[in-house]
This record gives sequence, C-alpha cells and structure tokens, in this order.
Amino acid sequence: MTEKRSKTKQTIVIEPRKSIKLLDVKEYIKYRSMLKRMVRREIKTKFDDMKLNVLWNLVRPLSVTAVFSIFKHASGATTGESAPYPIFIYSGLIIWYYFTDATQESASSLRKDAGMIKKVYFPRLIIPAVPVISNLILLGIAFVPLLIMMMAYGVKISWTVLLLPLVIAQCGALSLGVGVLFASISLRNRDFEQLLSLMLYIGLFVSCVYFSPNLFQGPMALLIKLNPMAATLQSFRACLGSTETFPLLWWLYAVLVSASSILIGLVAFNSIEKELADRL
Amino acid sequence: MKASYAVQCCDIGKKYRIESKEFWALRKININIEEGERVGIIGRNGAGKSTLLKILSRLVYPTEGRAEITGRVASLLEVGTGFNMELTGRDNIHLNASIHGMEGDEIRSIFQQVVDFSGVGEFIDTPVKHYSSGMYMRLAFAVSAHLDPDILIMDEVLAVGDLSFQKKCLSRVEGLANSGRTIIFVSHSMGDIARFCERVIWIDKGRIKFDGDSLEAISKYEEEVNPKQSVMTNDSIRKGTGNARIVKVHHYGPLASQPEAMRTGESCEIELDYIVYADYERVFDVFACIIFTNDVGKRVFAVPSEVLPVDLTRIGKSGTLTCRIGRLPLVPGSYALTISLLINNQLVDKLEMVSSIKVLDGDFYGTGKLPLKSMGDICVDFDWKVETKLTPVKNELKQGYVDKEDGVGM
Repeated sequence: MTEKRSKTKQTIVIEPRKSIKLLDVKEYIKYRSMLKRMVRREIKTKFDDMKLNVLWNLVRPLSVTAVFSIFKHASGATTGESAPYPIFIYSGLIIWYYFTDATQESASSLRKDAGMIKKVYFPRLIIPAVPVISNLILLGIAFVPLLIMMMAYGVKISWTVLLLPLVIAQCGALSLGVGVLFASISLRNRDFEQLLSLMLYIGLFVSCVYFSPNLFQGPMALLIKLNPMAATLQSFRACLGSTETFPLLWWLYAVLVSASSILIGLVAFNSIEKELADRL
Repeated sequence: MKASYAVQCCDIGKKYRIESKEFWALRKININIEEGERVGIIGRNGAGKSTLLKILSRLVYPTEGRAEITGRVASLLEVGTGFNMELTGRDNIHLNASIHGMEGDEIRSIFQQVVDFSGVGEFIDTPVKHYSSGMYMRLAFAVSAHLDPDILIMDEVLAVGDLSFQKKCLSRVEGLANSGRTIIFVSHSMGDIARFCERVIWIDKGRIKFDGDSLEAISKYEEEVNPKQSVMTNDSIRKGTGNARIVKVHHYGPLASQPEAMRTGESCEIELDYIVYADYERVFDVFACIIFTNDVGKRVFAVPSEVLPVDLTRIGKSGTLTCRIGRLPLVPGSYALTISLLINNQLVDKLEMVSSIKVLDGDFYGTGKLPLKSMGDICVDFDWKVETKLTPVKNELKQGYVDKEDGVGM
C-alpha cells in the first residue's frame, strides 16, 4: 500500500457553487468504473428479481403486436406503410419501450439512489445515466423476435442498417436529456413526475408506434413530424428495412432536439445540484 | 498556504433555509489540518458537525468561504453505501469501491485483502441477502477500510460488528493513522476520541468553540454538557438532619495540567467541602462514603471510610474531606456519585447522584491494552498461570473439547 503513495496528490477546492459548470468531463472519466459497476448492478438486479424477466420483457411488445395485427387484419385498416404490419409495429414498440423505460428510470433515479447521493461524493450524473445504458440490454434481447420475424417475412436489409447504432444512440441521448431534466425539476416539485408519465403515455399514441406518418397530409403531418420520437421510430424502422427510405433530414432534426434536451437537462441539473443532498 | 496542510478551511459557512427562515448551520469555520494529524470533531447534536463533514466530503456546497483538500479523500459517513442485497459479496466489493472512486485495477489489487479482512471466505460469491447482519457489516467495513485514502473522514462508523471485529476495525484505523494518513473523526464517544485524536475541534452552534489538545477539549466539553452540580442549592433532594452540609464536590485526576481527566488505572482524588452548622459538644465519630453508580443506575462500588482505621472526628466548623483512590478500577464512561456523611452515628447529609465523573481510557494493566467497557464496569488486579501435569490427560477429556470457531450465521 505504501508504494502507491508516491502519486502526486491532487488538491480539491471546495467553494460555493456560483458559476455554471455543465460537465466536468475529467471527473466522469475517473469514475468510469463506477458507471460500469452501476450498470452491472442494474442489469443483475433486473434479471435476478424475476427469473422470467427476459421473457416478460418480450411478452409486452409481442402481445401488443399480436392484438394490433389482429385488429388490422379484421378491420382492413391502412397504416400507410408497405412493410409487414407485425414488423412495423413490433420494431416501433421495442424502441419506444426502450425510450420510456430509460427516461422514466432516469427521471426517478436521483430519488431512488438518494441514500448513496447523501453519503458519498461522486459525479452525480452517473446516476441518471445508468438506466439509459442498462436498458440497452433489454432492447438487445427484444431484437431476437424481431430478427426471427424479419427472416420469416423475408425483409431485405440495406446499408442503412449501419446507421442503427447511431439511431439508438440518439434515442438514448434524448431519454438521458429528458430524464435528467425531469429528475432535476421533480426534485423541486414532484408533480413533474406525473407530468412525465402522462407525456410518455400520450407519446405512445402520437409517436407513430401504431401508424405511419404517411397517413397524414398538410398541417397535421407537420405537427406529427415535430415529435422527435416519431423521427427516431421511423429512422429505426428504415435502418431495419421496414420502411423505404431513411428520413435523414427528419432524423437530423431529432439529433438536434436530443442534443438540446441534454443541454437543457444539464442546465436544469446544474441549478439543482448545489442543493441536491439537502433536497433528497 | 503551506503545502503540508491536508485540509484548509477558510471562513466556511453554510446557510440553510427552512420555510423561508434562514439560519447558519456553520459560520466562519477556519481550520488547518496538517498531513498525518488525527483530529476529532465533537459537539452536541445539531451543532454543525455533520454539516462540516458533508462539506468536506463534497456532499453539500458551502454558502461562503473556501476549503482546500490535498490528497485522496475517503469519506465514511456510512459503511456499505450502494450495497445491493441481490448482488454477491464480490460484486458489492467492486461496486462499493468504485462508488468511492477507485478504479478497476486498484479494486482488483485490494480485493483479496478485503475478502480476508472481512472473513466472509467462501461466501464471497453468495448474494449478500443471505449473509447474517454481522457478516454484512464486516464486509461493508472491510471495503471502507481498504480504500487507501490520504484523508479519512469518519462519522462514528466504528461501532459495527461484534467485539473482536470492532477491535480489528479500530486497529485498522489506528494502522492507517500511524502510516501518516490524516484522520478526521466525528464521534459522541469521548473514549474513542481520546484514544484516536491528538487534537479536538469542538463545534457549538455552528462555530468553533475550541480547537486544541484533545484531553483539554474533552474535559471542557464534558463540563458543559454535564455541568457538575458542585454546589447544592436545592435542599429538598438532600437527606439527613442537616447538622452539616457538603457544599462542594471536586474531583481530580493525576495530572495537574488536566485536573478533570480521570483515567482507568490511575489515581484520583475526590474532595468534599463541608460546613458544620450544629454545635456539637463532642464529635466521637465521623463517617463519609461515596458510592459510584454507572450510567444505567447500577452501583459499582463504594468507598466507605468506616471500613478503614481512619479518624475523621476533627472536622471543626468547616473543611474538606478528601478521598484518594490509588488505582481507579472503573472502565471508561460516566459515573454518578452518591455521597453521605454521618456524624455521631447520625446521617447528617446525603446527596444522591450529585456529581457526574467522566473516566477516560487508561492503561490499567500496564500492558498497553486498554480495558473494554463490554467486559464489565470494573477492572481488578489478576494473574494467570499454567501448571503442566506430568501424567497424561485421559482420552475422554480430550474428546470433550470442541474447537469452536466463529459461526458465519448463514
């Protein structure tokens, strides 16, 4: 133990929080093993709680897919897409569920890990970032039925599949931004937790999970396109070959919104951080 | 600013606002702690100790002032932060150490030491929800004890686990202290403070009330927290005829510089100032007795003068009765005194539980090993020896002996 002491000692300055310091990148790099371990903790506890968690995670999108496929078949409704409807709706559902789960867990993470925050110093944003990463595992598992369906329907994959990681990253960034924003403001006022769950609930219906934006014309289509998650969903599907072309501009709009959401989230977090341990 | 300071606080203040009322939990805190110093922080509940600790641990921001901390800090405000019941001991060690800012390689390098220290052994890959609470605490403390900090900030975390583990923890912290680590220790246990810290900072109402030698600080603090009822003004709680009254009680330890510090195994004196009001024609006998009662109200021992061949009859009109105890057998703690005075076989004054004395750690046995409170209230002189028998022990006696290890309580 003593030989390690030769390291030069760092000096930490403790001062009142005045200036806005959005992100101390060096500090986060130093604590990367904590992020890794926290993600592992999340994943392990998710799967240890229920042995069938893997299956339960699949049951939700699969059953919704089945119900809507039957509805569509029985009613003869149009969705505005040429792709097989089960693939269309399932692929939309899994990325949507990833977004809502990650966002909601991120938004409630500060309260959930309040015990740690009050007792140990570490860069605080690790906590809301963990669910965004850990939920990727569930998304990955949900890909298995999707691949099976794609093979069954003979869906062709083009080069756009290479954009898939970027689309998922953009989705993760948006959930991190929204999550951190709501985690911060709900510390001051818990009503925002309800607001977020309402927004995510409505979002399921307006984010092109069940239908394609192609169904709409004129101002309504524009309104639909303002929702960045609709862009994410359509881009996600395009990567997997279930819609025709990758909506590049629309997706770049979503990237822009995601980046701004992170910035807004950081600003909100900054204003709450100085009183974080006192408020929890 | 000198480089050898581990902690420097300059005018640190922390203001809280509770329902639009503002108050300063800390104000104008100036502390310089040198590398390798062991500093205790004492004060009543709500005095601001925890706030100071939280600021130094970077959990809350100060409202004003500035502090600099040089070196790696491990802040043990609780042990086992982030421990998760579903995870195995192994995962929890990694998780807890990483929360304290250790990197992967560092954690791997201390891993085996942590496992050995905790004594969980083969259960390291069992989820901690199956551990007994003792095992859990041992593992949690083991991680904390191996964080390898330059500065260790502790908030009464020593009181974990069973006795043997507590001793292990204490010696581990002592080891850290002796290898030049700076230690900042908040505790309500004056015994622990006296044992660990050479310097004590007493915080009262958000300000530093005293900063200096630990024994001096402790005795001043004790005096304020448990004010000595030296002068008895309320006669209603007295018994006896009142022909004479004890008006003041003093007690002294062995050191003139710290008269209030009484220590286990060292000499002490208790003085009773008295005034005789009645006019005795003849005083043919005088007895005085002091009974020591511990903090749960149990009588520990007494020092009755009547068992000794002393003559106290020449009391006059006023004066002082002094009782000297050669080697105080009390283990560290607080004790109340019950004092009675008899003149001519008549109880003239009795004071129940009047004066509280504080006994600090002392080396009763002269071996450097301090008596533990859990072993009872008093220490006695004793000796052990062994005599080997020349005839061999019968077999059945040997078999009757079972080597009893510490159970793991699964």
